This record gives sequence, C-alpha cells and structure tokens, in this order.
Amino acid sequence: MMKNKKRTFAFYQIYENDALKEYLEDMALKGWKLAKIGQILLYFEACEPHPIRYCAEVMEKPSALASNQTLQLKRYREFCRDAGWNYLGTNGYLHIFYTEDMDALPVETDAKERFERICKASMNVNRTMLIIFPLISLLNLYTCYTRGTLLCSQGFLALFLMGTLCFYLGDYLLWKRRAKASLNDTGTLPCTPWPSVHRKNNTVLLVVLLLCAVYLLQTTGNAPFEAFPYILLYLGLYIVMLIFFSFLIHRLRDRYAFSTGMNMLIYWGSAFVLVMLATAVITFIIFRTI
Amino acid sequence: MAREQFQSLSEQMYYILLALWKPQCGADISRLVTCLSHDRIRIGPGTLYTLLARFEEQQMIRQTASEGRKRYYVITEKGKQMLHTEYRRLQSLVADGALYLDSQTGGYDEK
Repeated sequence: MMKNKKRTFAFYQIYENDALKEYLEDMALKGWKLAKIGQILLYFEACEPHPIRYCAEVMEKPSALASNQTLQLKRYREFCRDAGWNYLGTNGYLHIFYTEDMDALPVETDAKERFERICKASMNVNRTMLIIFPLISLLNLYTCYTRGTLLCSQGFLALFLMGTLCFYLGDYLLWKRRAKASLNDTGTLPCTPWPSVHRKNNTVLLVVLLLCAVYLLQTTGNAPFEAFPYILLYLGLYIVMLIFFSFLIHRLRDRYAFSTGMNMLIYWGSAFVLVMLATAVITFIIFRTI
Repeated sequence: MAREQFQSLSEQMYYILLALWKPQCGADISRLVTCLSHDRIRIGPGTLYTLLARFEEQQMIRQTASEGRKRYYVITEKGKQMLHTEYRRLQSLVADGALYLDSQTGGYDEK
C-alpha cells in the first residue's frame, strides 16, 4: 500500500529560507504537499504532483517568542489571504505561506527589507549563543587554568562550544556578505540549492552530536558502573524537558495573544522551575540510593 | 526598503502614497500601483501591509472605513506634503541629470 503521509528531517538556518521554499516546491512536484511544519520535521501529505508555490518569511520585529495571534499578524495574514496566499504555520522565526495560483505576487517584494529582517532574526539567535557559549567556556577555561591543562573534559567542552559558535557565526557572516553583494548586483537575495544546505547542516549536526557523545564518554569514563543509570536518567530528563519546551512555545505562540514579554516570562519561568525540580528529583534519588 | 523616518521614499512607498489619493483597500492599492507604474512596480501583500502599517504609524495615511475584513486608507496632509517633497526632489534629480544626459539640452557631448 502506498504511503499517503511522510515526514522528513529538515534542519536549516533562518537565512536558508529560500532554499527551504525551493525544497517544498520540489516536493509538491513529486506529489508531496506540506501539511505541517515542526521544529525539525516537515510533515507532508500525498497529492497529485502539481506545482505549489511557497514563501518562508520573517515578520517585522522578529522574535521566536512573539505570539502569532496578535492583531498585526492576523491582519498581515488577511492581506496575504486576500492576495491568494494561505498561511500554513510557523517554525520559530519563519512563517510559511503557500498558493496554487502561479500568478500571485510573492508575499514580500522588497528584497532589502527581507534582508534586514533575516539579519535581525539571525542575530537574535546568534546573540543568545554569543552570550551563553563564551560564558560557559570561560567558566570551563578557568577550571582548566587552575588544573594547568586544556586536556580535560572542561577544556574539550570550551573548545567544542567556541568551535560551534565560530562555525555558525562565520556561516551567517558569509551569507550576509554574499547577500549584500547580490542585493547590489541583482537586487535579489542569494539562494543556495537545498541539497547543499541539507548536506552542510546534516554534517554539522552529526559532528556536533559525535562531539557531544565523546564529551559524555570522557566525563563519565571514570564514573562507577552503578552510576550509569542515573546519568542516563539525568540526560533523559533534559531531553524530555527540551521536547516539553518546544511544545510549550509552539502552543503559546499559536493559541494565545500574550505579549512577547509574557511569553518570555512563562517560557523562562517554567524552564527555571523544571530544571530545579529535575535537579531536586535526581539528587533525592541519588542520596536515597546511597 | 523602509527609509528611516521617511527622509526619502522608495519607489514602492511613492506609488502607494500616490494610489491613496482616494480611499482604497489593500487589494485595490496593489492593483493601482501596478497600473500607475505601467507594470514596473509590483507590491506583494506582506510588503504592502508592512508599509501601510508604517505610514499609518507616521500619520501619513489614515484609515477611513472598514467593511468586514477590508480596510480603506487615504493619504493625509502630512503624507501629501511628503509626496510633494519627494516629487520636487525627483524633479531636481531629473533637471540636474538632463544637463548631462538629455541630448535635447545638448549636455551629452560635454559642450
């Protein structure tokens, strides 16, 4: 029996929105219409192979925590609907629209405005990394300094975090330079083909996961065998929390018209409470066992 | 592109303000801009919404009526003033350019 639903893994950066758009259009030509967009998964439904046009746009004043139910965004979507574009959903900063009208004008026709919004959104993501990663690295490097060596798990973590930060920042800056040149030359933004984007992002993700595994093996290498279930439990709890937060923010944005500040308070507040709770539960279990 | 504080207008802004000389709704503005610019300028719905919101915030246009989902906008005195300023700026650009570029005025051959 032929499958009529399909899920694909798609990990991409905000500035790769046009590559995503091309991928979705290719999928429609192969008979797969996008039904839902998740954080890292794209959900497709089978359809007759036919052309569908997509748009993946960043809104004005981009924020990953801003509600999708504000009056401004509702009106924006109404304007798009009146022009033939249907709203499909959002993934963080990118809002996805589709149309089967081949003559419909693109949702955004001002390339410079698009460029500015993409830069703002990308910098929002990079800013978080720019604060958190060096902070953790500095703390770890201090431990290395007191121990007198970089060849320890702390040193590895610091190098790993700074390497990741440099890669993502560098990739973004390279895109920005290319985009500026393209805007000056042709008045459009550059678009890397999806297969290259997909290959690059998957390779980076694989390297990051491998390095994470190496780090974990290195840190738990000296731990007694009995400690492994607790380490796994601890990691499992964090993965559950990650899924919970992804779900929470999706729900908050899509269902309620809370202000960005309120969403931020709920998000970070619950993160704090949950981390505290998880730490307390794990500590309690460990102490009880001892 | 959105020019900060509207010190000058982009082509899209210029044509939107021209189209709003009489009250129009979003879809009409888009059509009128295409028509006024002889198909040269085309404004997508997202760009149009953003620019209208900015113009409204700067009181260069105002909402006149709303019928269901449709909202009608018209240019204000401040908007007209901005449009006139831009018109004069463009005229002076053309006049300055004509000295060198218009063969009718004879500047083409650096006389």
